[in-house]
Amino acid sequence: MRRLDQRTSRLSWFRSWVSVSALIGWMRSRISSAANLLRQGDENSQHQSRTMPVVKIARYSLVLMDSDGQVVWTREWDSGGVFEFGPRQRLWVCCGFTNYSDCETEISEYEIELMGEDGLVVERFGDSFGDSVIIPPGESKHFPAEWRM
Amino acid sequence: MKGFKGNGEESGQGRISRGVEVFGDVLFADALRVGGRVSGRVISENGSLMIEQTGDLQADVDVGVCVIRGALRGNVNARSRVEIYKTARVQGDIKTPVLLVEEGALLSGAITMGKEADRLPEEIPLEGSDELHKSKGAS
Repeated sequence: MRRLDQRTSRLSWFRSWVSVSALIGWMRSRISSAANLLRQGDENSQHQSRTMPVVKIARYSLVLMDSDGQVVWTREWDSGGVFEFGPRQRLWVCCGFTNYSDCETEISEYEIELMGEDGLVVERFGDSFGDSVIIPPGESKHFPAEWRM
Repeated sequence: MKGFKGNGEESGQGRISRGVEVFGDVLFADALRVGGRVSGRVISENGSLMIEQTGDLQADVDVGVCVIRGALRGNVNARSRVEIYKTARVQGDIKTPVLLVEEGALLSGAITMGKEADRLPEEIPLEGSDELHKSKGAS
């Protein structure tokens, strides 16, 4: 009888030891996979910021279009020298148009283009209005654009 | 407009180094780097102002290009663009047509975007577009 009790007690001790070691093993695997995920995420973001291109901008332009998609007005500006736009940066550009003519100007959509030193377009932002916007003679309107890297 | 890459007097670049403190108005033509302290106003028709990480300005700035990596308490009016990098601390209003902000920059103030209507229009002729004649001018 006593031998049976001893065996049962050893067996329960062995079971609890197995379950504790299994728990430790499970925790270890969780911690290691979480660490791997973190390391991978860090490497990815580093890789991403390394590979994300840096755009050099020298000029930008505004193109206004009517409801038929015809260009009604355009103008180019110097950005004040070449500057770089890269990862973890945001860029806002706001272009203005003033109607100096004697008649109304109807605008349905617009584009703001960023250009490099060679004059090639490196980034483009476009937006359209549900209804055309009428700009009466002598009045102005600003057209914004935003880019994020 | 001159940039910041050139070095020396020939490049037309001025410098207020770390440890130097200036009180009053600072006027410059091409480019100015500030690593020290300026209290007053910084003015340039079309020049470029670079506030370095050690730079500390308590000034209103009226320039062509303003690049900020240090501290600035004051309003900025930049005719071409403003660049604010992650080490920058800016307290004041900014007026510019082009604004670049890097993640981590501290910026407290109002931002007004758009060109001033102070320049003559420079239209770009488009071939075969009669519509151009309808509307002229820009701000």
